[in-house]
Amino acid sequence: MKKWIWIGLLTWIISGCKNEYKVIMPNTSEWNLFNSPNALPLVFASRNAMEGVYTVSNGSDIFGNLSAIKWSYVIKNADTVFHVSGFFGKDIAYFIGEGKKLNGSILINGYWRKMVNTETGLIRLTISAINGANILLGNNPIIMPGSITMDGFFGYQQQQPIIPIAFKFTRKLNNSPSPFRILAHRSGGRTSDLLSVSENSVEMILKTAEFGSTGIEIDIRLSKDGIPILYHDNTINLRTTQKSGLVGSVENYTYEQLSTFVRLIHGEKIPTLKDALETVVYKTGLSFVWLDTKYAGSLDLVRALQKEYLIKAVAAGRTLQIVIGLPGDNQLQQFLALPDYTSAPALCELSLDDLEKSKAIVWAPRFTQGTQNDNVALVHQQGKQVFVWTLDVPAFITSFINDGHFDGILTNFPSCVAYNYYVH
Amino acid sequence: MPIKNFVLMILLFSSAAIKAQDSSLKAKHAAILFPFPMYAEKWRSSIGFTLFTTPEDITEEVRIRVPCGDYHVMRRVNDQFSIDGRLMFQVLQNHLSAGIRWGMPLGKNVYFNVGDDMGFWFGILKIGGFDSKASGWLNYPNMSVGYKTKKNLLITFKAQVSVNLSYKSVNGESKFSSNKSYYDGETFTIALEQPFYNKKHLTLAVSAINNYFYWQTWALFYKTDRKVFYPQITVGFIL
Repeated sequence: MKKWIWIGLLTWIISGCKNEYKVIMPNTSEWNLFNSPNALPLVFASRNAMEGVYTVSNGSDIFGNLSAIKWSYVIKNADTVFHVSGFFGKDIAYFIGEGKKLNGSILINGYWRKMVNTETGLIRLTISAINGANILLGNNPIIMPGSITMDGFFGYQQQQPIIPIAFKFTRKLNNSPSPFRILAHRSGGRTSDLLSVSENSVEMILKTAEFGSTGIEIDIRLSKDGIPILYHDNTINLRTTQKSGLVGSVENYTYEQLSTFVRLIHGEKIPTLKDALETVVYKTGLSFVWLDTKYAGSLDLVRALQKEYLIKAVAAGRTLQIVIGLPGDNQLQQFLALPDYTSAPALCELSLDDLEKSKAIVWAPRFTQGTQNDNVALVHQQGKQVFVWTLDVPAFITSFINDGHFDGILTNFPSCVAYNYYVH
Repeated sequence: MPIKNFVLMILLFSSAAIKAQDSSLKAKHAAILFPFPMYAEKWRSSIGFTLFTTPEDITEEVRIRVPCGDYHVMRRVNDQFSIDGRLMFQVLQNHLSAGIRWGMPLGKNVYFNVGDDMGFWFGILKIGGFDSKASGWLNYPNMSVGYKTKKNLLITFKAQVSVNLSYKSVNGESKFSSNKSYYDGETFTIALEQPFYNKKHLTLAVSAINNYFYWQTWALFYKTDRKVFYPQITVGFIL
């Protein structure tokens, strides 16, 4: 009997320590004013003029003192959908919403989230005519510090937003002459980041710019029938997929089998690389794609798709870089075996010698080697870019932006990089 | 006055404890985690290892399953007080702690102690694209209750909290440090100690660690904003 009491106590202690950890996204569709038929989309000039660094009052204890506000777009069903994002300096918080104009005012309706925990809720903001909407909705709006004030409320979870929050425009966003890449790991973030869509999915690619990303890193493997697909792990598992009955590596299954039987953690299909690049080129404004090759075989198929979609991007008037990642010696050898490797844009994670050997256009050292300003300067002299990966600790991100000279940062928290870069 | 009463109670218990001392425990029940006061011995020590698993939802396919060496030593100060020192070593990361224990019997077969340890950990990783070092200070208030069974099995329940006092890391020439102290989490341990072979005694313990930051994961990820659960086993041979 005593034995069972001890076993029960032990089980209780261990099981009691496992907390359920999930985010329940709030429903943003219940603001009647925003849903009014008279509420109309904002034009480019209004959206563009609104972008900037704002001081946060009322809600600064929750979100921090500053917010970088930026717009992004995706194309859904032939319509362009615009999102406004506010990136904060505290707890990797952000808000994402949509904007409309109504009776001379601007309304912003969305949700906020903190990436360090599971906190989320609704946010509703208004820019009244006298608080700057008359300028933003006019022709050629010119915004001065203090000329826009967004007032509104936020709440927790699905509760009505009743906690006051206000933003006041202070300056334009920091932007260097050459583009700084905010690169989202696995196209937007990991499963553990509890986003509403799965890592390495088309749905995440459509969402990632809302988090502040200007480019993505995606993981490439080959199905049994040789189709390049997006998948990170060595095996089909419950971290990345729903229960399917399939076990072992994705390389053991044809794409049809994977497409039929496997669903990613939020129910999406495993996409092909072609699906992913089609989405990037024709449905997003993303400017950089890092193909992280996770398999050991020939890179011919990946190179062919890279070439095809670089041509399609140019034809579509898009400024887009697609690079083949070289994370190890095997991939480097496979890359050097390509007949046209000297003209294939690549990203080398290896040594500076390997960078030279591969003719890669980007060098990407791991962050654990520090800012390496001397080496970065050396690579810059060769006309190449330098990215650092994978930076997730806010203090490290701040330090690498303030003290380093990188052209981009790969992160699971693009909103944190966006905040630090735009308010820099 | 409550404090005065508390001190009086402690003194009464202490004197009762001295009267109730059981020196036969020294020979029969050699133990390192059992909260039996050190009446006759000067030293107790054990050597063994701990093994924990990394949280799959954070570290994904990266798993650390390397045992961490564990040397534990205690030195008698007087019948109630002892000094406790511990070295945990795993090459990439190591942890040293030292503290004091105050113990007393609560009954014929039930013992209790309370203590506080200061810990320092440090890690160095200079392979495979890493040029990293990190270190930090921690404090561990703790309390143990032990029950001695008729079959010479010593069962200990230990509760310990950890307070993170400082953290410092260096990646290449990039440095980060924080002296902000915070409550780091708690660890509950159930330990069994009994004769094993040729009068040698063995410690087997299972711990449930629930922390924001755990020093053995410094190279994988920094502190989280939620407590992460780490199950850990400890095996030790009493020397």
